[in-house]
Amino acid sequence: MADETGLKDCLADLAESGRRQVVPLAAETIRARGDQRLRRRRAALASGGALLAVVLAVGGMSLVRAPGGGSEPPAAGPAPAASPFVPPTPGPSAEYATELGYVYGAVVRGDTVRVTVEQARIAGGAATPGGVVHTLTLPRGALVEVRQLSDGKPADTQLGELVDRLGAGPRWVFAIDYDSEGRVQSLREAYWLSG
Amino acid sequence: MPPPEGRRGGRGVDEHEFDAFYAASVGRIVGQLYAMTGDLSEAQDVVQEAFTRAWERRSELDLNGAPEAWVRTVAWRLAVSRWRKVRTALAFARRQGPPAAVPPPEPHHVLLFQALRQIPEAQRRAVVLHHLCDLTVEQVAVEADCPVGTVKAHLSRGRAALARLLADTELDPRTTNRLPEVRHG
Repeated sequence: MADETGLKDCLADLAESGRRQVVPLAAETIRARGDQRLRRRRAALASGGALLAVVLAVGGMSLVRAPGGGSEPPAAGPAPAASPFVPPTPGPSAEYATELGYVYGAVVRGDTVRVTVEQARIAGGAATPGGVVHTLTLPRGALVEVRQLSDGKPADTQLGELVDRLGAGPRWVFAIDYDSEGRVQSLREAYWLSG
Repeated sequence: MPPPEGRRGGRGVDEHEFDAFYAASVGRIVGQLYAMTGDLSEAQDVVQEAFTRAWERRSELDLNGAPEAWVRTVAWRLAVSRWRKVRTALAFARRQGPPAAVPPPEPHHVLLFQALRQIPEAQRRAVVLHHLCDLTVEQVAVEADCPVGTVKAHLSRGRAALARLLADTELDPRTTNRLPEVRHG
């Protein structure tokens, strides 16, 4: 077969066999997915400030309730302070909840990369550091959607390849998508807020 | 082939234009990604994801440019990302249970897949873009974002490797005519 028709026809035959079997989604479904993401992105933008306010309020209450008078000193030595960060929870109809934050201080640790996240305060479509900081440890191979970080070309790159650029102080803003169990499902450069 | 996001000022598309573009090209691009990846479900998944991203960026999409090449490039990048594969597989399993059964490929397709999988990704992509998608060497260089000389090397090495791997099989290319690089215009 291929002896007579060559590599080109062989590949064409292969591709055609796949094409015959494929049952693509309806175009409306594709558009609906895209529209849903756009809405999610806009909602994340709008809710970024609200989320920050909630986190700050919770943090403030924790400070007010901190041991001061009447409580006994701990019997053991001080334990490391628990991170006040609680991953956002997706809404009832949403697959993910998004945190907007500066990602920096990337350090490789074996097969993982530890990054610091400072939640962003959004005002007038621009981001500023919000002061609430936590850390994330992700696989080096974690896929990151980038744009400005790849010189304006949208690309999917591995987190391990961005360590140098994310190693310094807060500069790049990311949308971090958490699933309902608080696991990071994706990292997307919030290019519409960065730089 | 700079992606539409990379060059601002695309005129954008409306629903009807997008639907027509999708209907006309989705099957073809899935077939091309199938040849590149050897996995039909994966090919369909990444192509549909690429179209979703195209719709997300519809205000920058220019159907008079090279939207099909852009979708193919995005789909390819998605396909080579192991992270995405794991994520998609988990999400798919969560949402829909076991994937639908896909008929096994023909024996001669299996031979070709096995050979394609043994050559480096860059060579495989170049071979498919050039010999299946009918792109010139220069067009492959633009889409793969690498120099023309590199594409020529990928094609040469890829074909040589395929010839070795398919020797003494029913796809033995020794009896086929050597394929010159396509040059349009």
